[in-house]
Amino acid sequence: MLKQTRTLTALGLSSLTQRLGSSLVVVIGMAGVVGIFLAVLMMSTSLRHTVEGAADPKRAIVMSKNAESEGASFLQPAEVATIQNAPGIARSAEGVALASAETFATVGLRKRSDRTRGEIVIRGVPPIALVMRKEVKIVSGRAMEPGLHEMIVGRSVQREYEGLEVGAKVFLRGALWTVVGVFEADGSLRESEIWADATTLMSAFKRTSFNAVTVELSSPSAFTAFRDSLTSNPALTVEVLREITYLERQSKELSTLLSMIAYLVGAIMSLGAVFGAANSMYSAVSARSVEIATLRALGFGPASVVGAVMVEALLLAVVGAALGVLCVWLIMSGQTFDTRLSGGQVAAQLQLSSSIVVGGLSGACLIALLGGLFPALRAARQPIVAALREH
Amino acid sequence: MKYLPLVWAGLWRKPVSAVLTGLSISVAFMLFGCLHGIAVGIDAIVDRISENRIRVQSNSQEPLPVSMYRELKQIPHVDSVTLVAFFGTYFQNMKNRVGSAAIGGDISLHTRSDIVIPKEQSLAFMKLRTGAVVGGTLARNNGWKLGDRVPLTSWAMKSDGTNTWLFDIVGIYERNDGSDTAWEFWVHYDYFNEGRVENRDTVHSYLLRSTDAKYNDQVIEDVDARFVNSGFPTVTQSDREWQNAGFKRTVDVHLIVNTIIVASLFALLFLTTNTMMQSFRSRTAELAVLKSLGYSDNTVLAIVIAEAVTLYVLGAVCGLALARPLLPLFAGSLGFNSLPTPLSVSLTGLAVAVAAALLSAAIPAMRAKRLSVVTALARR
Repeated sequence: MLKQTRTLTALGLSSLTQRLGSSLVVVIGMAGVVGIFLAVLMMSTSLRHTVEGAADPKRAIVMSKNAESEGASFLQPAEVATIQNAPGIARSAEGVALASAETFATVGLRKRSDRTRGEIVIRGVPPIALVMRKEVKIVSGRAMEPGLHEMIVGRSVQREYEGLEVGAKVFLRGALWTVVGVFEADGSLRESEIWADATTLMSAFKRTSFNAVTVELSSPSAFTAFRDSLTSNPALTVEVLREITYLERQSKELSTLLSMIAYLVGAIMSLGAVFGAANSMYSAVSARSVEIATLRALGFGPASVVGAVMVEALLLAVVGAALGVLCVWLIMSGQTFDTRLSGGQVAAQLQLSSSIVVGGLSGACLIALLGGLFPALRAARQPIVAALREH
Repeated sequence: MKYLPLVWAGLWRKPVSAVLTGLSISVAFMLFGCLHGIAVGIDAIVDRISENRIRVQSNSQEPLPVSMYRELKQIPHVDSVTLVAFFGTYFQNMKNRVGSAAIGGDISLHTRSDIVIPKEQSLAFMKLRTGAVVGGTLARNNGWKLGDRVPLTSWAMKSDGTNTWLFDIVGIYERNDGSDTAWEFWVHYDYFNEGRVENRDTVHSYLLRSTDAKYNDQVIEDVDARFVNSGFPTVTQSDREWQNAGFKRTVDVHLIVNTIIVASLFALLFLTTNTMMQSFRSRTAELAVLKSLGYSDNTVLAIVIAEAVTLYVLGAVCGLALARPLLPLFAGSLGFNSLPTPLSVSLTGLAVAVAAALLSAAIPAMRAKRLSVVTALARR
């Protein structure tokens, strides 16, 4: 039966150019469905990737208990001191604990592209942060000096917003702050932030408490001991999370929403594509009705006819899906998707991942199978004599 | 209209093809209805805001001093200045949050174009220090009526050591676009400012009304220039832009909606053009017979176009009708709980359907018009 199917499929494909119109309908329809589905899904996965890319398995974050995010967490200096002395924290070469007590605020800046206002996170960090967060590298200028009104800006912020070149000055909370450097962070979330010295930022914004403490543990397995020592301490009411868990939580709502849109719109478009594919395969089958009847009279079994029609539909669908993937890749890959997340604007780099491409291709195959089924069955069941007589 | 039976019969010559094409059209327009509906709904929300409202805020979200009021009144082309300080409160239990706003400056609420409130109530509010004007939706939710004395609890402590604020409801406003979304609770700034402990004599933002929308850009520049070196640099923008940017900041809705619509309509057009062309290729003999019976070339052209338009309109009507109940569900899942859904969405959809039908039928219609009777019948 397999050999028969192969022969019939080859025969069908060789006459494909005669049915160019209806074949192209399947190809273009599939390209549209797969293209749109992947485009929206790509936004969701790229966002998660950017946010979670900032996480390190050895890092943990300590916030006030039940704080939804860093912004809603407040830790007093005494609490921070206790946290910094907890067991399990790694130390730098000079013996300093790799614990970064941070405070953040937001600053309104104008976007270069359309001059609208966006809010950017400005994070106050201690000098040890640059040692601890190894993925953050200064690519131009230098780091800020503690105690001075200086700041370094992420590559992404500098690109998207006005007035942040090295040497530029920003008036913020009663003082002129100077941009002294630009940093990169492997394309992750941190590149959408501005960093300044924690103490200077806190006095400028009249803050007396920190938002969170991020630590680097001596090893990922030291987490449990670290967490237990803090949560069992009666003087503290804190929550301790692995950095990856915390960041997943932050991006979950928006990326789930985007995924939902992708699947919803994708499902509706797929339904249309099933009807379109069915239409095309019906016309293909009826165009070849005499040919198919002749072949069946010659002895080709009905199963091979069904197989041949399905394979043709699948091939057209795969070509269409590949076209869709190519278009999305050409148009969207490398662009940034700008959105608002827990405090400030985040620019996520759009990247097509192989898992979603495979998902799109599988969806296209499913559509082809569903759409091609009834036409295939009809081709197999058509009475041979009637078909031959019709001509 | 006498050709209608002919057109109808023509559609059903290939029933399977007609049904499947019709279903594809319905699905495409269902998608159109939902997506375009969301985009139009968001625009309607932004359009509710008066064109000449301008919002002044600090560039780093710090409170602005109340003394700025006097300077803002002096900016040319500024008709009125209202100051706003928000404070978080709840009524009776912590889950029943009330977004309270303490307003001051020019507060003649009856002159606002986006709400409706009886003039006496607005004037009564201006005279009573402890007065409050509440949104009709909020009032109905909590069972408040005019004349009620309402206690609200704030998270921040008051200067007298308690957390409770007492207000007299002297006015109830409704939205002027018919939607049931009047949720705000306005009180007097002076009364609020005296009672609070933190951030005294400061406000969150100022809302200016320009004398005419054409002066907006001028006012925005003047305000930011006036305060850039003052210690409280401002970022000023028209209120519509602020609201729009708020939506756009999360996801650029119009871009996504338009891209999806264009892509699906393109694929649909491809499908229907192909169907039309196949259908007429197989019916050239019938059309030739019609011509030999005396139907003019243009009539035959019209019949072909009429078939396409009928199929498209029927499919679109089904799809758009399905979209109407789906739209609130769709919008709700995206977080828009009371999106306006104007009829214009369906009407636009129908117009698009007719245009698409004309495009699909263009080539087959021209061929039908030019069909030579002899050649067509001879081929058969």
